[in-house]
Amino acid sequence: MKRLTALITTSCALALIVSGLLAFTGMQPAQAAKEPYVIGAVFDASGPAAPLGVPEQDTIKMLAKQLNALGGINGHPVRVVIYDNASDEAQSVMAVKKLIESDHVLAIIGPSQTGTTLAAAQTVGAAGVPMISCAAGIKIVSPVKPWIFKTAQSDVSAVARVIDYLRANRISKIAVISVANAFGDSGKAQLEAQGKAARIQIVAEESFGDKDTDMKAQLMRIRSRAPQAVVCWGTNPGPAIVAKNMQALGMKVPLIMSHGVANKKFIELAGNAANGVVFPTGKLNVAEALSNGDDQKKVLLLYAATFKREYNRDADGFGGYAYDAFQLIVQALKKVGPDRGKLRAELEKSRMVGVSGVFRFNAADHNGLGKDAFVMVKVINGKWIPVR
Amino acid sequence: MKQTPSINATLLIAVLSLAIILLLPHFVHDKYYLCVLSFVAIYTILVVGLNLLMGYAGQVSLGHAAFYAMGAYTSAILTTQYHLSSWLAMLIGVCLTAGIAYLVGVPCLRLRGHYLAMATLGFGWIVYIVLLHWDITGGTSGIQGMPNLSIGLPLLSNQAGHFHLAWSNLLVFDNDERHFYLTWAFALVILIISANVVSSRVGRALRALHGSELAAATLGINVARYKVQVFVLSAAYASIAGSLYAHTVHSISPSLFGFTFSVSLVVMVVVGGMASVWGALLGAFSMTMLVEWLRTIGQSVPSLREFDVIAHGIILMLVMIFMPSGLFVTIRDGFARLFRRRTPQPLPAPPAKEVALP
Amino acid sequence: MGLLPDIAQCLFSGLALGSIFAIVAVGFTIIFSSTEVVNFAQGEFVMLGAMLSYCLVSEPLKLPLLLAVPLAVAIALVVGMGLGWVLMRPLKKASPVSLIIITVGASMLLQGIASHLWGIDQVSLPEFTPHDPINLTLPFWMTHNHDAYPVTIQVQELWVMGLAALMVIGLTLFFRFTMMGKAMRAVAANRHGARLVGVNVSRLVMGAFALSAAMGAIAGAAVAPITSGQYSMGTMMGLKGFAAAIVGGLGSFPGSIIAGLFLGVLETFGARFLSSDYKDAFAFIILLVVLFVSPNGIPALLRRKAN
Repeated sequence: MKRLTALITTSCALALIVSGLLAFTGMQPAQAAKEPYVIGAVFDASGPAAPLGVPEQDTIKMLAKQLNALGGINGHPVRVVIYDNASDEAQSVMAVKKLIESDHVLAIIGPSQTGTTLAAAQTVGAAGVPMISCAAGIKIVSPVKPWIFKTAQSDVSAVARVIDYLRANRISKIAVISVANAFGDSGKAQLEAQGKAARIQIVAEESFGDKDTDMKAQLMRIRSRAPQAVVCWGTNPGPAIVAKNMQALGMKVPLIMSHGVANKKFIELAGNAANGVVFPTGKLNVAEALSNGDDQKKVLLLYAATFKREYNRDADGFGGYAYDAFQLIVQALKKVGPDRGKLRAELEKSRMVGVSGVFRFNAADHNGLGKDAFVMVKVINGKWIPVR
Repeated sequence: MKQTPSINATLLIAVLSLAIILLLPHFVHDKYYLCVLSFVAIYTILVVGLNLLMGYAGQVSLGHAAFYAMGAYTSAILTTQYHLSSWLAMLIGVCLTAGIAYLVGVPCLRLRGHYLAMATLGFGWIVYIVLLHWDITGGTSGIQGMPNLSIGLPLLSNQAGHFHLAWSNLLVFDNDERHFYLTWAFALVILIISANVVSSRVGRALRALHGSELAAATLGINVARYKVQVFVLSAAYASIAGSLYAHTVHSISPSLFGFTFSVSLVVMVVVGGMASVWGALLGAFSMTMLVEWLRTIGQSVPSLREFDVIAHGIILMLVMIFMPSGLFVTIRDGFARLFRRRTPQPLPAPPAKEVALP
Repeated sequence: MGLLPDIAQCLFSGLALGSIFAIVAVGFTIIFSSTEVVNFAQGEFVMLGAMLSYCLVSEPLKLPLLLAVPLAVAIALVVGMGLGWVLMRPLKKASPVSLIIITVGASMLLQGIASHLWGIDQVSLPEFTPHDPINLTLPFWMTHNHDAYPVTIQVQELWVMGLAALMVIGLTLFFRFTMMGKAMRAVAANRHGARLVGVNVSRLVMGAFALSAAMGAIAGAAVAPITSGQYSMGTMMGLKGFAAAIVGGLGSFPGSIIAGLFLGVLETFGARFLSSDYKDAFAFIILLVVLFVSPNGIPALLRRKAN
């Protein structure tokens, strides 16, 4: 019996090692992409950022399928290789390396978060592969890195919209509470800079961790400074808790948030504390309410409909970022063919009406979007109503 | 008594490893795997230190990522903001980390098994939270742009009438192959040093300590001093690994150095074998490859959401229950048992349960 | 005193938070006293209570909360017993290090399964008794301020504290008057001696795990409506509850409770008056200080001073 146990455990141990070696030798280098165009993607599809990565991944799969059904790009089928970095930066770097060196991709879409993007950016830049990120942080494209682009609207534009709203409503003293991550820090910095230019005074600045479950301490401090409005910059679930805490503390001042809460999840988490919250959102969420003259309306409705048909779920802004990245690459590939350097140059000149906005890239602007990519909305009874 | 590899065996393994490492890049078509193996090397350095601590000194550290972070951040800050030489920065990192480890170790190591685990856990979390919020560490976005490591020759250059010490770059470690050689050079050296430590007087003292602190003390071994020494050594290793990471990946941020990573290190130690230097290598290799394998599978079977976390958990539990001495020792003994039928085999003694001192 | 409403608010919220820490700490203590195992998966029972409740109230079962929560607690209890059973064999011969690692593995496993079954999103749970927050305005003679902010009390917070108190009372009665409770106290006092008088240790281990799991689950279901549930919510709860258990003296039932409440209040006050950035660090700093100064907890320190 002991020998049997020994045999079993030894075999298992060996199996573990051998499987490791097999992964090592078993991977054949992908056939050099002669016929099919290979596009790579890295998304944070598991782990904390999965709400961002999953719709992005699904969108890319859907688009690739549709494109191939229509004959691909100039007759070349498109093969998409998607890796999941599990919201981890080290894995992000590895995934990108694998795409570049094993799969020989022409371009990379993703990752989904600012942190994972910045980690991979160094590698991608050194290897000379164009990458279109779906993350929001301004640090990704400012200072401009030659090979890195992004489709997610910048927080610069989101903040600009918020500042416009504040001025339109004659609010000049605000408190800022942000989440302690790249997204929150970036937004806070923008609020400080643009607020100063617009003569809006920030009377209190607080932050909270992205796993925190109670923000009353910060809100109490804010309350004691008597701001005219509270601006909360973060992604779920923090802002929902901020909304609930504010309601619990009886704080009645207007609550303005970032585009990080432009999704149904926020409303679900915050319950009726979500009513009255104002934030900028990409136009996808209010597509039906747009005027027929709006450039983006057709694209938005088409995306929403096809996504719903394919996955039986509502499309959201995150998937939209991936949508735009894919279409940009396809558009560029159609013009210049499978060459990384030419792709990059073409991307830099691109113009496209997308889901996230109307893109106008140039050498100094690798995001290509402005304030007009956002509309301000208010949550009323679970629905998004545009406001001025 | 645990078996110790004799000096000859160590030398053999070392030479063999050197040969494998020198020749490997030529056989690997896919440069991506060189990158993976570079990570294995870095993790090996981390795991060897932790292995010495856990296997030989019997102390659990659930916050070792903190020392890894200290090395990485020191290198990053000193090279990007103060423009020091990368090697100097690495050295400073090691000294700083070792110093902090000493300060933390002296009070901590008076504690027993689970208390130390908790203390290191708490320490790890504190460091992580500080990294997130301190300006100097760049907060949540961390630090990017560290230069590559390079070897150069000093030369005097004459600029505008002043003599000036400059470095000419003979060899810059800037691509996957060179990263591979660089990281494995460090890993090998550290492995050999550790193997020597294990078979030296210090190592024997440590093993006695692990067997029973009480007995070791009666033999005149200064238990506290040895425990602290091992703790500091493992922290120094971690610091080196951190600096290497910083200079090969060029981007660091706090999320790399959290509790999850500390736990991954423990998994690697446990899987490889807690009382074996080469087990550290095996553990680092297997777990890294497992992640790669899961990544490959994950591509074709999308419904396996979060499977890597589940797999880590299951492996940890199964290994600790059924293979507590780890892969290396289990395989070694397994082979021994299969091939030697006649000789009565003393089973390797399971790790002794610590006598519950009142 | 302009700050009085804030102080009162912090005190109240701190006690609510501390109740959760206390329950987790008591869970640790029960398992540790009976088995000498530090159960790293303790926080996951809290998570299971919350997530299972959520699962049962949503599609497709849509059970009423009154049914869902006890059922969730029952399932968590079974999971706890499962963990106890898994640990039985290694308990006999493995080192404390190994046992710790096994429970760490169990914690990862539970988190992985939870995220696989219920996704990684945060989920919201309905309050036990939906009600507007109660606003208590402190009397003028205390605040000297007609416009002082009221202290806001969420009804769910009262549930949390109430359930925690009930559990503590229940436990005290359990330890005093039931066979198993007395057996646990015997084992805690002297393990081998307890065996000698016929205590069935394996049944005890299962019992200890079942009890801790159930308590953690109740706490989780109670706190989730306030904080929202997520597969990862167990980690911090477990760690801070753990810190409370150590500070109160691992193995001391009243110590765990007091330390838990104390850490909750400390964290809330620290967040409000010191720094909300570093608020998670407070519990760990106290943990380290206590470990360095008096590893057996504050009660031991007090006893030493008394002598």
